[in-house]
Amino acid sequence: MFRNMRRPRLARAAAGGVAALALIAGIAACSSAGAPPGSSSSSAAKSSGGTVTEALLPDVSLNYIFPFVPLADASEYNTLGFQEMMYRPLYYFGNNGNSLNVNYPLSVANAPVYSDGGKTITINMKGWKWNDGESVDAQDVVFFLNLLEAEKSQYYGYAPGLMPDNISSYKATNADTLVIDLKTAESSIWYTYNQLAEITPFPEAWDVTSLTAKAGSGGCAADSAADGWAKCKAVFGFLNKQAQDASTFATSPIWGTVDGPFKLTAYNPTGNISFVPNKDYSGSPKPTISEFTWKYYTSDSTEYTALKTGQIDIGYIPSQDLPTKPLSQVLPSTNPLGSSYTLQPAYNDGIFYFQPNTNNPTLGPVFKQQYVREAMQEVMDQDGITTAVNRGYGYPTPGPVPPQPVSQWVPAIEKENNGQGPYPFSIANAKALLTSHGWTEQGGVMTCTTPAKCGTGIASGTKLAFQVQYPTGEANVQQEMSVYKSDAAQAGMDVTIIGQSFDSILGQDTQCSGAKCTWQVDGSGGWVFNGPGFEPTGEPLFQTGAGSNAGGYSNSHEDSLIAGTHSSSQLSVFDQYATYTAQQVPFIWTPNTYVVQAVNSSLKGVAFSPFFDTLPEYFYFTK
Amino acid sequence: MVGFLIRRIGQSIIVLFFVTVFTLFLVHLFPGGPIRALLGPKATPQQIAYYNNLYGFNQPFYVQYLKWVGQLFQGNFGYSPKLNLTVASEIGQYLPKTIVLVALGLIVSLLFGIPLGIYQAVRRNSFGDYLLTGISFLGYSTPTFFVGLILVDWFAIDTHVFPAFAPQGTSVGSILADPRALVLPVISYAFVLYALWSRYMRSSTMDNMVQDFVRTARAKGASERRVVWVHVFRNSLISIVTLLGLSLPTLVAGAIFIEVVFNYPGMGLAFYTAALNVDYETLLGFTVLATVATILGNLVADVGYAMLDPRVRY
Repeated sequence: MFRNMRRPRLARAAAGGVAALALIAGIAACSSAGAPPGSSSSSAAKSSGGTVTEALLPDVSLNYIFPFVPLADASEYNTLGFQEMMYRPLYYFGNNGNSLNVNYPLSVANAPVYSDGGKTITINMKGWKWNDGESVDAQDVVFFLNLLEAEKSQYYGYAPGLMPDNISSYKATNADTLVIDLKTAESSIWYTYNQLAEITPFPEAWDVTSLTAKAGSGGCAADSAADGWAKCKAVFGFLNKQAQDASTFATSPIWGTVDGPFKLTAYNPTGNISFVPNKDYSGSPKPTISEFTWKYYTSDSTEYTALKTGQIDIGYIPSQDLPTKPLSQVLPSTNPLGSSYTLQPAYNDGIFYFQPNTNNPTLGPVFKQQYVREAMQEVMDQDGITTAVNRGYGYPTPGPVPPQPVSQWVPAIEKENNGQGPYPFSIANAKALLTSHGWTEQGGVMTCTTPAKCGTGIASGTKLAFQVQYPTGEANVQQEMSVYKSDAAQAGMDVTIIGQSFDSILGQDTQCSGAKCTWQVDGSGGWVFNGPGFEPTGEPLFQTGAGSNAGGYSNSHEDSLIAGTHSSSQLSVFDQYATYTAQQVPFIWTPNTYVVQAVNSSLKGVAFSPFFDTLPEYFYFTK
Repeated sequence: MVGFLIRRIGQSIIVLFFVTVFTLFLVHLFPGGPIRALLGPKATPQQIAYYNNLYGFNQPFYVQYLKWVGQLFQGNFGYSPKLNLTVASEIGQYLPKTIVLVALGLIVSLLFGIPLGIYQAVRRNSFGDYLLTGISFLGYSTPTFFVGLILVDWFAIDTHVFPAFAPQGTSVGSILADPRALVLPVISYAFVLYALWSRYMRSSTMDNMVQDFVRTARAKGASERRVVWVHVFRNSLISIVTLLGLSLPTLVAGAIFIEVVFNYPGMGLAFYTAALNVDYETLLGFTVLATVATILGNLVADVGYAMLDPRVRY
């Protein structure tokens, strides 16, 4: 998940501000909010009712219902696949399709209006209703922001300097209007996509400190820093405690107050999680089906058995059960499930990579050299791995922006070389890069023989031999590593692959320095830009000292380009950042894969958002 | 016997102490600590420090252990931040399902294993004996999950005779109300155990059949049926009772392979998932339960042994 939130403002008189508004509106207009790609050609008669059952991934747990999510429970499944079905965020991102943009029709507020050079944001609510009859109004947004002020350290999306730290004040000027003043002017795109995206209005019914208290009696929506946010802390304590008792999710009156298209009726984390339509839903479309159920399965093979026996309507075909296909095709030529199911690809809005540790005492100076990283990239045969290991169900990661689905964020440089980016697979190029920088192959391993050319801090005799840790538990990951090791060896890089549990790698491969900073390359890296930030800017990954920049990559120009994406509302500025980062290759990009989903042939309107948006209000059965 | 029981209880407390200390110690060996595993790759050092303080991982080991033991004595098995459930609720949810599956598997395997083992001993070296020996070896050498997958393929996917999954209900009543769905998982579980019981029963019966008391019984005119079922059977059960007592912990520990293949989340899968996720509270709670079950199982085996064999006294 990724989070980055800023609030751009639209000046009434500033052309740049107006242009930014037009840009945001234009970006939003690109989203096909009401046109699910999987169903547009269906001519069968629509029937209402029916229960749709969809399989959860085996290791996914929908375990947190309160949209003020702590880091321990943060996952796109909890937010996009669970909470947002019931509690709509202020601004919704994605759609029932491939859009990566803000979706105002599905949002509870109209597009934000930026003014005062980008320092003031005016948000007008649409007047939707909670199912208890109350309006989803500006005060509900204030309630969320007050909680964030009171308990920001508990919120997964918070980082110092980001919301609410970048807000100087906010106020509901009338029932449906909220005005937010920022401390500094921010990019309208970035602030909409990465800061406003974090807000979910909370109902007055939640502003309580006990189950029998009157709505609003908690006083958090009217609280302030004057009392140290005491009322909000008390309300948060109560709500958090409620959220920690999963057995009450479906029965608690707290969680039963919804403004989304569905409400929860049954909850069993290792069984069924069922929803029925919220008949008071103000948005559109209204659900047609009568029930939607997430179904838990213990393993891929169990889930596939359920598909083969027709027990679920929507599931995924495990990669090992898919026939190999050429890269040029998206789906297999034959459907392993026959005519009972139709197949669709499900992409993720993510990038995958190795992270070299530039702070390793011996190899750090080596990894700091851009040409070395380029060479490491050029021995990564992404297409070959995708074909041989992933059976053709994947595509290269060419840079810092996910290349699929195609979006306005993808820079031209990532489309070069048939989607492999600026450093396509070429062992000869990798070797030439190294030899031209003072490395000589000795005993099959590249060794630095001309330190002046090798780079600062690289001693004569240093061998290009390093360890790559990869997570065990998936056969294809080990195979990928083996392929990389073999290809790297041909270019004189001696790679040792070490399998460990993902959590072990997580614990070991952190930002460090000094003699104990011994890990070399982390082969488990990945980042999906599906909230709380939806614009794929680089501050959590590539900025100096960033939380997930475990390898310690540091580049002042990179830092300034990233900062530029926060202050400029021009897409060209983002493009500069993305292009430069692709050229720099701070991480070694590895192949991405997509999942092949199977949908009951009589079920229409189903599409698979790269954000994991789950929008069953679009689903319908045909007669 | 009372003295024996008191000594065993004392030993059990010591065992329980060492097992729980070791488990908590292992959790702390996790690189970066259990909080790192809980929070994932996006956790900043400040967030890790915050949660370490919140969950008490920044306190000395003995303080953490004593705090946890104190909770235990109050009936609080802890809370799983991964599942947002108390460990007691997890146990309450999974344990009955596991007991149903394992108990049924044990019963079915015993119902077949014991009489067929006796038959094999009485009719040893016959065609029936060889056939059943072959089946036993097959059961013993075939992984449980493989048996399950084959049964699902043949009887669920290809022929639709039985459902592919075990009962998906959450209560014991709803599970038992769907006996058809129990057939394949119980057979998968019982098949391997049947091999165990039948081989031990065969061997034990053969040993007892050549004892002096059997010759005496025959000399006194007892029928062969009476010799086998009245004299030999009880003595042959001693080894089975011992094994049965040692099997008691599986009622708690579950049968992970069967649970996975038949989509029947129970204690086994929960334990495995907790280990993968470094869900330390669940690990500790389940470890206590499994240890108590093991201790009880051993105790039941020893007491049963004494009941069957009057020569054994504690």
